[in-house]
Amino acid sequence: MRIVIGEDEALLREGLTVLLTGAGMTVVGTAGDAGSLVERAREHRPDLVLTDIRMPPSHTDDGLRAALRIREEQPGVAVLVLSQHVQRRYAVELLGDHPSGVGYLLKQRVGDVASFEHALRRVAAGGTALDPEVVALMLQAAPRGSGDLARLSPRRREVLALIAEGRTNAAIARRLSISEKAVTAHVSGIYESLGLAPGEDDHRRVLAVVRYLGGLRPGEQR
Amino acid sequence: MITPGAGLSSTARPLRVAVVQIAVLAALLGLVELVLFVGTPEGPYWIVATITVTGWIYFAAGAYAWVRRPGNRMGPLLCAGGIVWLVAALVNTTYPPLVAAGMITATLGIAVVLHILLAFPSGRLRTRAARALTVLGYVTTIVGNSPVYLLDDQTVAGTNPLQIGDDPTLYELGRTLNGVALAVAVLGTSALLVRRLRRSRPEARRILTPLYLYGIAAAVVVSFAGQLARFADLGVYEIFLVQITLLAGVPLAFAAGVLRGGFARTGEIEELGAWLGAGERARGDLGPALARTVGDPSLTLVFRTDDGWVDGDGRPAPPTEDRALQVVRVGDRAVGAIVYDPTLVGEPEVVRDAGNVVALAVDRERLTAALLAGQEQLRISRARLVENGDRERRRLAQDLHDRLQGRLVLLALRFGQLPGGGDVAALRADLDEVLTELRRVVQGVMPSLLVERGLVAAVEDMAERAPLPTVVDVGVDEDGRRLPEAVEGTAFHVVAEALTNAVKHADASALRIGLHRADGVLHLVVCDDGVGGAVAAGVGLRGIADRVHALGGSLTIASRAGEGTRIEVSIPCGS
Repeated sequence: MRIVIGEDEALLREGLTVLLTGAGMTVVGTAGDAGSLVERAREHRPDLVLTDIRMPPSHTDDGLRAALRIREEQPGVAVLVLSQHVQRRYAVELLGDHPSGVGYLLKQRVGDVASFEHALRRVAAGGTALDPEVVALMLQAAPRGSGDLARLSPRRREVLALIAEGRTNAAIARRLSISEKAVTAHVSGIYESLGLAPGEDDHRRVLAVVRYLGGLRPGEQR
Repeated sequence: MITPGAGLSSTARPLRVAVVQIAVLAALLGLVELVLFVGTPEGPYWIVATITVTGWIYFAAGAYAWVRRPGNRMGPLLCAGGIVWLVAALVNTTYPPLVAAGMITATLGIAVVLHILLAFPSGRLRTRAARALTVLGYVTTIVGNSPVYLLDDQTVAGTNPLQIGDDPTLYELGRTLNGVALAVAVLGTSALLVRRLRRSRPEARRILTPLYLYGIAAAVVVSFAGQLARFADLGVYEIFLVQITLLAGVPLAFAAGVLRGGFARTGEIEELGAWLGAGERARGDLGPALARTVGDPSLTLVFRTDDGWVDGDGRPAPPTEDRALQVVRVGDRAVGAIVYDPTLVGEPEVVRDAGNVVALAVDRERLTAALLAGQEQLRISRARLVENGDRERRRLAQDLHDRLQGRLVLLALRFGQLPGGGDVAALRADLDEVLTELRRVVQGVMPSLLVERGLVAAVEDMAERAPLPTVVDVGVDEDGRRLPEAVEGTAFHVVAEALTNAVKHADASALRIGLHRADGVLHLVVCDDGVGGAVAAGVGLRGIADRVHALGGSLTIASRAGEGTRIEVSIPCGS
């Protein structure tokens, strides 16, 4: 798995490189600012771009904008964005209309190396990885958002939130201490409530997340 | 010691008497003429009489301007024009020497119009070009017109007393040359006036443009009536009436210009003295009173403080190059200055005189202005405090982000790579909690969305997280330009405080936030539908009110019991 890293803090950049290399991934390029991150991504055409949000030159959301640009230029490249703080609107912007190969995690999650690795691989494989904090923000906004979501029972919203985090049915079952069969039932119920036609399960999971997160677009008024 | 009015009126009175005496003489002269015209063969009596009447109009306008503005030469100039007209009218008498005088001065009125145009507003010819054009005008209309009165035998009265020949070729040549010379004088004058207009300030232009246009139009129409008449089907008398009407309007227009514009205004200076003595004055009246006296609507008054010139409200008002400055002194001490438009005010002496009259009053207003200047400095320093506070918060948030959060994440990364075990796992969990706690602290110091995306995004985000339904209405974002940091910070705190108030105290069920930016002012409105009764004296609201005021903004709270709370804030945010 070939990765380009965008991080302005040199020590952390090196730490991440060591971590990823140790996990059997290849760091093909690193960048300390948004401009060179976009260039590295063009140059190396990696499988995944891992980037910080607040980076030079303006030290605001440069990393996020670079990530969006890379996705636009190379739709095949997976993007995992890290930040000290998470914003709901950034998640919505990142997921866009094609929420595959996208991740948005709090920076501190790198401490949980195994989960972090797992998230990286999931995103690189076209899945999603959303920080529980992000999902919590979504949940906060959701009840007043889409009518479809408002109809979901609290338990099903919980399941949907975990789907949005990118978890498998098995993981959700463990997390909620219920059987995997129960989870499957909830998931089917969710698909039905959201009006998602029967089809490939992975695809519907993605659509459910989009529906869930798409209740609001950036800048949209409520 | 200044004694307004007294000394000035004593010199003004004899002048008035003298002018009235001259005017009476001119009136009598005109009456004699009107008697002499009886039986004139030149045309209908009333047509002939209009020339004398025009002379009277010049004289009356001139005398009035002269009395009202003794220091201004326009009055005497207009009176002289009146004399010219009375003399020119003599051509219609039957007594040969008088006819001769009238013939010589027949077109002199045109030169007078050019002279008036060039000398306006002071009545003095201040440039060499203006003097040259005036001389050209007089030479053309007296000497250049000589072929007419020396060679023409077409006078209706019969013999031309001045005739010395009758060569038609010479006559035509002379007339053509004279026409060219007159055209040069009129065009030259027009060019000079256009240049003056370009250089003058907009206020001056409003007065000068119509006068100049009228004067030039009159000169052109009168000078080239013969040529112009070919384009219009007019009889001799009709053309004459158009000419005489245009010329008779000139003194009225320019006398009005003298009275409205800024010229020697002894009468007004007396009025100013009387007005000062009356005592019924409010602060800030002095400048407009001076503007009226001097006749320059753009006139302003500035005051001398230890920190330089300030205006009546204490704001710094440094002198600019296009404005003239007349320092007002009490004794040797400069207390203020009259800032005026030198193109509009013909004579600086008037401004000086007016300044002397108001010196003591200026000194009194100076004290107020100095006090207000102090207040202004206080306001600026308060604004600076708020700005510094905001900058410090941002810097602190940035430092926490860059140094502490970054280092702790690195630490977490290293812990994560250690071989597992009970202690390590516990330490990892602790570190994760510390990071979560630190994240909240940083958000409290300065929300990261406010730093990264600005006020609108941060307020929308706050609305999303709000525990009650909240609608955000955002106005024009002016090309997405960010607001000044202190304004963003303050506005954000207003919304946060209003939200806290709505949730904690007002028992509100919905909140509406309006955020609009127009003409360099940020307007912020937050309304809830709660119980009302909020007061600005509350600690939180007091704090945001202080911040808003320090930035030169305003905050109003409408919160009658049972009618919800509406907080409105306006903060200047640059254009």
